[in-house]
Amino acid sequence: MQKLATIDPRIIFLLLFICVAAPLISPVGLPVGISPGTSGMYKFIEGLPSGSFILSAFDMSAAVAPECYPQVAAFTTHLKNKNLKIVEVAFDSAGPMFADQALRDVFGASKDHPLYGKNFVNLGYIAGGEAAMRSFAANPKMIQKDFYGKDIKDLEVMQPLSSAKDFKLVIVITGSQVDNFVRQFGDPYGVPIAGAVTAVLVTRVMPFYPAKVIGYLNGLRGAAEYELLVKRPGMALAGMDAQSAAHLLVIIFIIIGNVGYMVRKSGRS
Amino acid sequence: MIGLDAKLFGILISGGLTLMAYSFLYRENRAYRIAEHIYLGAGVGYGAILSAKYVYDNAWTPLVKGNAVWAIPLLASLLLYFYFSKKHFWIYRIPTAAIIGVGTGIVVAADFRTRFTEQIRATLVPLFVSNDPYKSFNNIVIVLGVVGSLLFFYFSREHKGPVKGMVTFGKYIIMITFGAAFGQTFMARISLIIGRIQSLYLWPAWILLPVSVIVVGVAIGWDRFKQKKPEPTTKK
Repeated sequence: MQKLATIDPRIIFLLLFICVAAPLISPVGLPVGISPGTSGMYKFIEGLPSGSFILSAFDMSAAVAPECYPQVAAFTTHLKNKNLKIVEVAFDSAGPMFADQALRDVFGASKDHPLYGKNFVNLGYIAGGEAAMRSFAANPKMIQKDFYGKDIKDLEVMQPLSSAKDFKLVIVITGSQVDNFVRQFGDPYGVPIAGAVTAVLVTRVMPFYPAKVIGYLNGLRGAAEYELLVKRPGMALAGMDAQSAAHLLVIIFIIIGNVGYMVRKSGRS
Repeated sequence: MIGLDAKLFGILISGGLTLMAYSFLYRENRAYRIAEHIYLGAGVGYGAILSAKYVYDNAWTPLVKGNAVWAIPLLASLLLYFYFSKKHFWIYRIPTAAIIGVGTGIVVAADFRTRFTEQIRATLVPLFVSNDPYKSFNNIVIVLGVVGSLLFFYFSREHKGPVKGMVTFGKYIIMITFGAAFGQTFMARISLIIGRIQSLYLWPAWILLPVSVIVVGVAIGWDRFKQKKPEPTTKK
């Protein structure tokens, strides 16, 4: 037991790597249930009439992409299937890159797609943090050009928008907070908010659910659930076995650690 | 040259940098440092370029087209560079004060509603909901949990009598919250590992795996060799 207490952390890293890699190479296919947060978001989008405006707000950095990007791909597929109008905007400088990637993955092309500017648009990065969010909520046409340098006046999808009230839903893709979107979009304009957030952030989103945040995707798990709902199995669903295996390993380590602690404590007394 | 297009080359670079970053798990080394510096440099550079593009598109272009009002924020932003002047540092404080003032004004007023009054309102729930024992239980936990957690941080009176029970309940609620937050954090970190391993699984990134195993093997062997080597004796 003493040996276990002083185990080289690198052995734990190696075991964790094996636990994650093995199910990715040879998937087991463990069942994935749908959580209320995910189904809340899915049902809300499902109930929207065709042609409704959705704001996808990319407040994400590259560091959270393994969790957030599969979520983006899954819900953008749903928005496309429902024929909703998508306005992508970024309040983090890395955001436009992932917004563009999502359009290419889901629609097959971004700025060169025939529906670009009619059904969807990538407005790019707006600098200024929460002040920029407030300005954008007051006037979504505040910027002159989209991410690709096209004039906003020439983009058909932008013309009916006069304030955040015109959006039927704001989907926040973030690893930092949703509070700012509730403050600047939800409370003043009454726009429902949905969160595509990292798992770390979920405990901060839950106080707003379901009153202010109508649903949320809980990290990679949320992405896997959404992939199931939109029948588009992807990277997130493929990673769920690995996630379960890693969790199991850590539960075993926690049990071993606690047993070791109790044995040492009883030995001392 | 070697039959790699831009996408494959990108995958290879990404896989190589991933392995370089993870080499830190064995020990601190130059490969990790290089990966870390590339990540920081690329991130800051990309952010700076996009910010500059934003200013160019939305402030500079309208200004040169004759919309003179954009001169005000542009000049105000240039004042920030007085940060580097010891003599005229005070000028830097003017735009900084404006940024802080506007930022605080935007956040504080709205936040009072979002995270204070609205949250209190969300706690005012019926303790017993007819024909819904699950909701009743949830509501009771919410009300008692909030009151207990707040009492835990009330230090003006000694925690004894009925208050002690509430404080203990609040303490357990806080501990459960920390546990949930830890579990969620762990899940997030594992998701990141999954994402990176999935990227290594793509062709041609996976060919880096045997290379990295050899490199790590050599590093371990080198470390062992250095440990066994006797310390050189110094001449008096």
